[in-house]
Amino acid sequence: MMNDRFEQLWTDYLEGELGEAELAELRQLIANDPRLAEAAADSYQLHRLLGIAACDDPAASERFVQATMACLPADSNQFTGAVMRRLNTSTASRTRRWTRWLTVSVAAVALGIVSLTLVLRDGGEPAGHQPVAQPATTNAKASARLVAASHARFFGELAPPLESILETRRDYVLTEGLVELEFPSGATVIIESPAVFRVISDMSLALDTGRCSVYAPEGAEGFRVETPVTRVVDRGTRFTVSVAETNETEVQVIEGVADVYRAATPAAQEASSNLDKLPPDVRLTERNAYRITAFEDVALAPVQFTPAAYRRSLPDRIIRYDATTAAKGGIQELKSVTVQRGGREIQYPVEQLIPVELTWFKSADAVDRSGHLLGGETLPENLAELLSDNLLTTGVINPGGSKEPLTSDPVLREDADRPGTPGFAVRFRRPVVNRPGPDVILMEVQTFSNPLDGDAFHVSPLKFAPGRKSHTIRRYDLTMNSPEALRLASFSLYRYSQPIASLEELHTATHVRANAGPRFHLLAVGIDLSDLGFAEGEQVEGLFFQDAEDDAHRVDPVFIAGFPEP
Amino acid sequence: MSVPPDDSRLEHALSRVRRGDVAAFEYVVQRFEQPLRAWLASQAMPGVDVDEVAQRAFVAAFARLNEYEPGTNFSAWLFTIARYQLRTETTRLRRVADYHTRYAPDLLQRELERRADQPPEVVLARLDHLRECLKSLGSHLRQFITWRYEEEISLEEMASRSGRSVAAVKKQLFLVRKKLHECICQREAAAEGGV
Repeated sequence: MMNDRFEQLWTDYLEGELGEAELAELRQLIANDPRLAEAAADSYQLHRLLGIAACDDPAASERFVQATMACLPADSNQFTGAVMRRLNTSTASRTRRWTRWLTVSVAAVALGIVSLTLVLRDGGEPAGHQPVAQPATTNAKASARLVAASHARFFGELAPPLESILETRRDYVLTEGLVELEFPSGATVIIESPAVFRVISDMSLALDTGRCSVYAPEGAEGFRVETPVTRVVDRGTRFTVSVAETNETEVQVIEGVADVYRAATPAAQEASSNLDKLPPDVRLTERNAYRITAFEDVALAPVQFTPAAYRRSLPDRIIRYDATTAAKGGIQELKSVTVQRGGREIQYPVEQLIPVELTWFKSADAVDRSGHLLGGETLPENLAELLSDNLLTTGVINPGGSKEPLTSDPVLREDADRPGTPGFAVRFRRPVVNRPGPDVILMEVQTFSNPLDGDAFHVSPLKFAPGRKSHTIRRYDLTMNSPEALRLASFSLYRYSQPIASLEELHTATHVRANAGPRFHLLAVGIDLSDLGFAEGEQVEGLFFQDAEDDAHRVDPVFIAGFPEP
Repeated sequence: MSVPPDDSRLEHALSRVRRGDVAAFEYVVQRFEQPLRAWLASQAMPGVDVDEVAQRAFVAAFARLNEYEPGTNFSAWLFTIARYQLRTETTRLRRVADYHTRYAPDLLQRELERRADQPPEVVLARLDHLRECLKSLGSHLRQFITWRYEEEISLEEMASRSGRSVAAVKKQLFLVRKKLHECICQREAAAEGGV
């Protein structure tokens, strides 16, 4: 029989309510009865496991995973034992502070490795510049924001979320895609990969390598881009700066005026504090282009003006979406989609989107172990609506496909001579009009063990005609690397014991429900009907989709819709 | 969508990490995050931040990945690293002068240390039993677990919500834990063929 006093003291202990005297009493009780030590250990272990079991929250797990990933160096092979040695000997500043310390230390090591691979440059920044990675949103001093990104990937880290503030004097290594930064003055800079850049201040950006397109509207005059051999100071203009690996820098002025200072000149050394009063090495006006080389001495030479190098905006794409959150975390029901169409950002509430109806479905010849339907505990009677209801946890997945995209009409009425085409067809509830940029959105569920860029698929016209063609999408606008690709609420998979040959079989064939894992995210891609050969303004009534059969993973759509006319 | 994770996928991810694909390690963390945290939770002395030790173990595994022999038992290798990380942290805590005053009766600590070599499989099976036992709890009892471990509200608030005294709430918590412990023991015995 357990000691009542032990029971009381032990409960207080677990609740953190035990005073010093009571702790001594508890210790004495345990010392007097070895069974109590065992009971205490049992209860303590259960108490800790309850903390784990009661918080089976995918969001918490995800936070842990991301926090751990943020602690990793860029490359396990190059990671020296230094960090671990420091870990083992460090005894101060523990608990939560450890995580921050390790993050900074590891990132410093990682960036040290990065910096060794880069050419060391004298860009006129203060001596002792030590790039240290910290979460982008924690630095209150910087105020240049990441306002847009397209397929952006950063070396050794996740892309910062849109609207996050970038740190000053910290190297960002853009290995893929494009990003757009906005400075407090209103100046915007589009940076194209591969690029290494730093935000130096609210009025300046350092570009070690890569290309950027700068737009400095009224009020942003004086904004400057520093390269290893130049400082380009805006005087109210649009210009591009390209920096090669050899430090060779090219400046092209599209509109207005820009002053170029050679970094090695005394003028340039003083320029950061006194730019307005110093004569530039060269003043570039509209349609002027100069190349600045710095092999033995810094030299400037005019080059051909190539206005195409200037990028006014990021490519048209799906920018983000918004959805409701389920009680246990994860997104559930689509609320709106934000898309850039023809260079213009538009947010469509889901009610304005043009829904689709599934009109054909055929799987591959083999049984797909992951099933063909996504849903809740029960399925609706009409499965044809699974791609058009606003629920993101319902869909029709793993269609059949083909390595080669279609070049003629898909067969949607199977007979003995003509087998149906693997894939699925949708019909829009009202025609979608082809306009610049994405006209249709496809969203699919994906997890980290699937292709991070999304499952490749072909999209084809339902009726081929001269000029019409299939289009293959291998990379989504929002991928597993995009902070905007949100984690999905839990859902069920419906597995069939046979391949599915038609939409009817999808309804009638025997299936069993299984719970899916909690790690799925929702990717999205925009489809431009022009890529299928439709003319501007042409109306499109439906589309045909096939998995690209490029790997073991098949496309898993949960929502498809057309965009109304802007 | 592809089939559920298996060891070949794990080895593939590890192989990608060895080739410099840091992002591939995310799969490894996802796969072992919960078992590792659960095992550490049951082994760690009071005062140890389990998530911190788990995170440290993952970072150490990543950094020493070239020491792991592909095709062998990665799970065992990772848990061994975690065990050493936990020992390091335990040693550090013990050296804190007022540790016993602040955190734990020394005899509890000794009993936990005696159990330190519990295999992860035992702890993970216990966690599974616990989940099942939680399902079998009546809703009024389950409510106390939710308040205490999910919502983490104070005893006073639990008392207010349940219309009982704080002392009664403490008693209830003790009884629920005891009931869960008995349920787990029964399930363990059944699993071993003892029932």
